[in-house]
Amino acid sequence: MKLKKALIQTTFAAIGLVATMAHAQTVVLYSSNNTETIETALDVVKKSAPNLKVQQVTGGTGSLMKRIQAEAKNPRGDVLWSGGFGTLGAYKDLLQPYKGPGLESIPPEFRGPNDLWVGTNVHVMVMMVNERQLKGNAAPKTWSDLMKPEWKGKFAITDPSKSATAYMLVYGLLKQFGKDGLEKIAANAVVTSSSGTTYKGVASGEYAVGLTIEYAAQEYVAGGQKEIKLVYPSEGSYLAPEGMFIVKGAKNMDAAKTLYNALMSKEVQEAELTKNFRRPTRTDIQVSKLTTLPDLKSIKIFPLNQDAASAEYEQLVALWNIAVSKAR
Amino acid sequence: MKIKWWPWGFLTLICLVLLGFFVLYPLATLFSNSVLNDEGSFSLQAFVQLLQDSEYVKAFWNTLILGFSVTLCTVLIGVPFAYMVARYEFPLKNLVAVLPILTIVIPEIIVGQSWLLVLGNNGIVTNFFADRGIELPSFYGWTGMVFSMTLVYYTYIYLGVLAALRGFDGSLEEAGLSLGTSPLVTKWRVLVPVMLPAVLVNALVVFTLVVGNFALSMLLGSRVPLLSVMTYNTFVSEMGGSPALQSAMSVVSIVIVAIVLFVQKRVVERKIYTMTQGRAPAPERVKSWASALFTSTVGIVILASLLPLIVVFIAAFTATSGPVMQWGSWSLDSLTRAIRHAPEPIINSLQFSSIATVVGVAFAVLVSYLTIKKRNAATQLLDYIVVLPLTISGTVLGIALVQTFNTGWLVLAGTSGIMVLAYAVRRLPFAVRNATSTLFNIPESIEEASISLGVSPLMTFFKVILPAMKASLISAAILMWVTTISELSASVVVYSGGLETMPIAIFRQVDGGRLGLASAYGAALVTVILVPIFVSIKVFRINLFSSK
Repeated sequence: MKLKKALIQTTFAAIGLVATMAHAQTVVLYSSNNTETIETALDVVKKSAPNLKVQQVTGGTGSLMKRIQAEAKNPRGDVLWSGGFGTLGAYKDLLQPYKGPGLESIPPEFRGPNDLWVGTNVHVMVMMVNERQLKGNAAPKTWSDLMKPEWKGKFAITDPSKSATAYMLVYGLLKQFGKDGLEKIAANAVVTSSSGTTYKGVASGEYAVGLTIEYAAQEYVAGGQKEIKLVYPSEGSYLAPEGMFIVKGAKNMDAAKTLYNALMSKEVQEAELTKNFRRPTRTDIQVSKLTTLPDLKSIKIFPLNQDAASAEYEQLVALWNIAVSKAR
Repeated sequence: MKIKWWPWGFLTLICLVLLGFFVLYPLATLFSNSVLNDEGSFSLQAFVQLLQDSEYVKAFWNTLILGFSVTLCTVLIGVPFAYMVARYEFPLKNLVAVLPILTIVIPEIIVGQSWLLVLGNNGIVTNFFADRGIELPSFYGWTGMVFSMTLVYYTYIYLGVLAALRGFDGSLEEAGLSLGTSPLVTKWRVLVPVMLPAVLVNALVVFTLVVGNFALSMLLGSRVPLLSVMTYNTFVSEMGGSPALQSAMSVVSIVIVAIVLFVQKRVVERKIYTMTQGRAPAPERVKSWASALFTSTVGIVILASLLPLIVVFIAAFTATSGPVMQWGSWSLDSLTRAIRHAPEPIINSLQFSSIATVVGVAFAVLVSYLTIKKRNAATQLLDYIVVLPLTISGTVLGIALVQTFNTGWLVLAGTSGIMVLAYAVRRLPFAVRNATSTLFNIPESIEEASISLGVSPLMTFFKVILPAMKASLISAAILMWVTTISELSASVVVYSGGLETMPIAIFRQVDGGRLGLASAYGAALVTVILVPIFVSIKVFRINLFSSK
């Protein structure tokens, strides 16, 4: 009798195990975000979708997009998180339109055309200042300050052809100050080959100022590096929203949607804000309440058209390269 | 020479086919991609573009300058050091035996990262002085690269020269002295010709390593444009790079190394002297002041080589807040996080390098047996092809493999196969050289005896030759295992999701500015490498870096 009971119990346990295994959904996430950002999100996702097994492939947005393009006939990835709006625009045929629940709280400027993609968070371009390296000089207040001769060789900017955020920054400078202003900036700047080099360089004192992304700079402030300050240029800053999409023909479509919804949830966006200083695109999160960062409304923004920015890619990069080589 | 087809001719053919497919074919793809434009027709556009790019031209010269200066520095340190160790007896001398192990076992990425923690612009020592109003010169750029690369690579010169000195016939020097030549002149005239080939051969190795260096150049180079870094950046560019440009860049760095290899071969071949009987003079005991000097020199070098390890372990236990290290306050956070995430990269690393080691060593034994004991025209060709990977830096090899095995009937990109392939091809020349060196010492007569007793040639190979090579095979396997497990430059190019190895994980953390987490990964990696090495040295009683 005892044996029989034990047998039945084992059988049920086995069935239960098989059932949960069958229930576990796998989704392949392509991401250009750093491990910490992904971890933060997935820790929250684990609570809302415990059966979702997320496999990650990380790399630069460009190389991931090339990969999705190469795999188009037999997609190996399901969701891409995240790339600049301009970059995504160039690959419209590869994206699956999807409108998840609760997207109403995302302003239209942070959403892709026909729900092809959606902004998970938005970068603000700032000046990251290392006061120790200023050696007593005043920090710049505006973009035009950096066009003055005394700033030559003292600030870093990332090559716009190497980084999508740097591209938006340079595009903004061109739109706001014209070719002339862009040339003046290029003449003074130290050009780095990745956005990481710029902010790490300022943090480690290699450059006094870096034109970079708000969250990256804020991490050093929050980490207790007292000499690091963020300057929001009074002429207006530029926004670079980061987009997420589902790959067209994704093998794990249902799991992809689950992940997509989870990543857009208020919980994930709040966690990303408080832990990694990623500004949410959702309007129902008040940034200044949760962090020391100012609300988006209180920052002066110079508006940019993301689609136009991607259309003008070739010209801008060419213009920039000429400006840089002129300065050398 | 007549080729005997069974079994050796047949095996040679198989080796040639394999090498042709996995070494020559990717190289050919790379070369052809460099001269094809987007439409697929012949064009030198990519090279023209490189020539017109002032940044690239600068990177070209910088790479050469860096190559020569690091090589020079390693010679300046390695040669006297070897001389000191070979000729003199002094306290703590046995410590130098661990030097090669230290420099080969600690992955370059960890060396670079820990020097940044110490001497970087926000490093411990830098800040210590800065707080006292003393500005240390920036460690980024030339200073840091020459310093750290010298420290990593001088062992090649040291080991090579040490071996030459140990095989040196002391009576030559005595003869010189007895003929009335002054001691210094004798040393100069007798020792230099002996050491020169060793120096030149290993200097070339150092030069190629510097030109292909990725980890240290990437971490410390910053404002100094370099070929390896530019090639990598073009490959991973966020916007997606052009294959023609990537290939053209790769071709340039292959050509540089190939030219140097050619020149070196011409020079060295004329200069090799064979010692008929090598009875090295016994080491002299030095005077007390000299012994203090020698011991402290050795101490400093050991400490400098060991420092990265110490720093990494300290940093692994240091509290962090985002990217900022909180020196002085301890925490297990980084380690716990690393352990939570490390299993996959650790398993990957172990798996890939173990398979690559088995495959690589087996192949190397076969190739070296064929090229030494069964010489014919075909094996000579084999001999040439097998060293080809020496001319290819890791990054370039990675790009060639990805471009070749991305499409077509054999798709390896995205599978663990490409990782194993990258490891195996990259370390093949070293494995072959290792196997070759013992084969020279196995007399033909043993084999002939076995065959004349009726044992088939193949069985003789397994029953007689292989056991005789056992010791060197184990040491070759260990070396290959260690160097592949810390390999970064090729694997960072070919890896994809789920294939991340420890060095890649570390690189990504350093790249994202997370030095604390990177150190925790680093500590785990070093442990994974050191424990088996230590055990196998103790168990097999292997002298890993015997001078042969």
